[in-house]
Amino acid sequence: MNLSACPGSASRRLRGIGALRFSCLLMVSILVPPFAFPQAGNPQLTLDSVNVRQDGMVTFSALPLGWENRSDFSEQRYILGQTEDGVFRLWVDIESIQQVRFNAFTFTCYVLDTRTDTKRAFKFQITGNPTGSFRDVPARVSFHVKTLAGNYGGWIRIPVYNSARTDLLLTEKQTEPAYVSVSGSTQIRIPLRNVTESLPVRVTDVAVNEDCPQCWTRISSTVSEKTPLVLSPGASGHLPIVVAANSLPALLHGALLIKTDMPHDTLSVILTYHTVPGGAEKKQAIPANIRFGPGLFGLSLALCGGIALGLTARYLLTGKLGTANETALHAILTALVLGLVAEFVGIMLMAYGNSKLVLLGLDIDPRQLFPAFILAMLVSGGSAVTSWIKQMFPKTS
Amino acid sequence: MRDLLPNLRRDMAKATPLFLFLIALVVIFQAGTLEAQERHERPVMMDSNGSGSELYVLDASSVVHEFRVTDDGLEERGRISLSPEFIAADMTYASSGGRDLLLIAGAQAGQGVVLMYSLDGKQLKSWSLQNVCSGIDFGKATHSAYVATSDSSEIYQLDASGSESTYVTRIADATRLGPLAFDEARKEIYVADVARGRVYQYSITTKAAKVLAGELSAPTAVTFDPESRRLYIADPGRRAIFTVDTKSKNPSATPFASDSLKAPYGLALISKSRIAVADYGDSSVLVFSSKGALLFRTLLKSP
Repeated sequence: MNLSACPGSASRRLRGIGALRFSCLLMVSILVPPFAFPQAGNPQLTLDSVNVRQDGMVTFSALPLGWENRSDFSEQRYILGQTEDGVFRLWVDIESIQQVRFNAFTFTCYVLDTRTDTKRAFKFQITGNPTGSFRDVPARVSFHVKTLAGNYGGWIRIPVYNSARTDLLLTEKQTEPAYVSVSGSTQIRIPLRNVTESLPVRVTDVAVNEDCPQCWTRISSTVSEKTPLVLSPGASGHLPIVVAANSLPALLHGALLIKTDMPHDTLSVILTYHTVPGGAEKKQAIPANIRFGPGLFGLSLALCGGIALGLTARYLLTGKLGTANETALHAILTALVLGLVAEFVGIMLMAYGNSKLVLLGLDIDPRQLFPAFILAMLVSGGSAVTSWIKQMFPKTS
Repeated sequence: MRDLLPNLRRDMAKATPLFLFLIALVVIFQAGTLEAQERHERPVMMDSNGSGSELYVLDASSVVHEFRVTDDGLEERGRISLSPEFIAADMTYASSGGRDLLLIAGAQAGQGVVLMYSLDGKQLKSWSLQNVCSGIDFGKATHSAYVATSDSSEIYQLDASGSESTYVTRIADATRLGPLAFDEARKEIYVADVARGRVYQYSITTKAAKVLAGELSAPTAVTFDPESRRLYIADPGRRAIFTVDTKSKNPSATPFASDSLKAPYGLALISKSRIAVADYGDSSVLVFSSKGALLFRTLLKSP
């Protein structure tokens, strides 16, 4: 448009020019997104790509979200970086760090101009895109704040993440299976080590898969989202798992596995953990070999030993193995059967009946070796042995 | 000695019922009594049978949950466990040759793989690609799936009845392609760039790609509604669902739902124009009306 060709006075022309400029400005402000060019007072933020120990790289993209009236950037929640001349401060919100799918992470940050109004800050959403095989680690990231007044460079130390790398926890290889009693609860402790160099690891969930589900009545861990196990960088710790065996199935399951280095069951302990702050949730399965104790073979030996001792004691005390007309073989077989029945009933009562087995004033658990031995000895020895023991150890109370 | 054997036989006969009783007890108590602990799984991705009422949700433990969507909740009907070595990136429901199928794109041992599963959990077929698969959608009329790759920014076409993959295009501007949606009627592919926070529109007919929507942080799921021709985008970076009217001359992402979302990872269009959202951060599936109102939320429970 040729302005000089327009009729009318100079003032009208000026008004016309003013209106044209205004409409041009309006057009530009409608058509151009607010982040395309640094507007007056709207800073642009870029974060440089960062190499992570030659194991990988992280590139960043920044999405401007606008001004927010805030100045409450506490050091507990925000990481501070600033430009070299101290003009702009960059606050990264630790609590906003979030892992997203496709191995990316995002966080919110704020750019604050210290020269002007410090009551408001410009908000950005940053997306980090890692490649390579590095583990989660804090990294020095260079950033640039661009305004109409110039370009300002600085750096900030923030954690960068790589969810593709999952082996952040190491465990020691089990040299022999963990012992789990077939009676009562047992705590097994799984050694863990945080192999990251600078970030703590928080274990938030423990799930367990077992090869023999019927061998267990309880498998639990106190570790949870509310009570996590936190391992400092490079530190070791133990993951406690409380287990209770289902006595009879556990005994039978391990009956034929006599070699002490052979596991009766293998638990697959699946840990859910993440680096702190804001790391991706990772799952790691750790096998835990379990051996139930005492085994069925051990209990059988204790039973046979107890029966033999009981019969011997009975013979020594009465001069006979059985009753008056009973053959020795019959007496031995009777003792064997009665010992077996007593042991079996004892196990059943203890495991499933929540009962107590009290012999001679002693609370006995027949799922243990020595109590099984005593029980068998008393049953096979009969009244002669019981009376003799009572005489030897009279009740004091 | 002469009386020994008959006596033994007599005694054993007497003891037999006792032993039988003991054996019966052993069998009874073999039954497992392991305490069950309720846990919640984190949903990662989802798809539905078209715009029907069957919803398939893949959780972080590589288990696909099959749900029937009712008016006020989800009823679980079955589960499919995937191989732990397979890292799933996106999934789509497919119907081909009269069979209902699930196609799951991802990676195994660093190589791109697409697995075809029947709904009863059998793996029927697989395709191998050189690059890591990140997005997938299925075209019912053409019996073919379109697959995006994250490390090469390419799109491939897979023939559901064959075993070959055909190169379609490469989105030159893209940094890391993620989820993909297919508008079969107009032969257009919508594919998100997770790294740059954009959604590209690629026309198969004109072979041209353009940015459909920017101003996103990390779009991790897209789904296309063929009736309204709206594209829905899940952006966990901004903790919101956005929608884009693809009919518009100046399309842009406008907020659809953001209330109560922690980390929306997955999206699916279900019956009655409702939108199901997989909220990873909340271990739940949320269902929104077509207007963006939250209808109900269901926690995803593990077995």
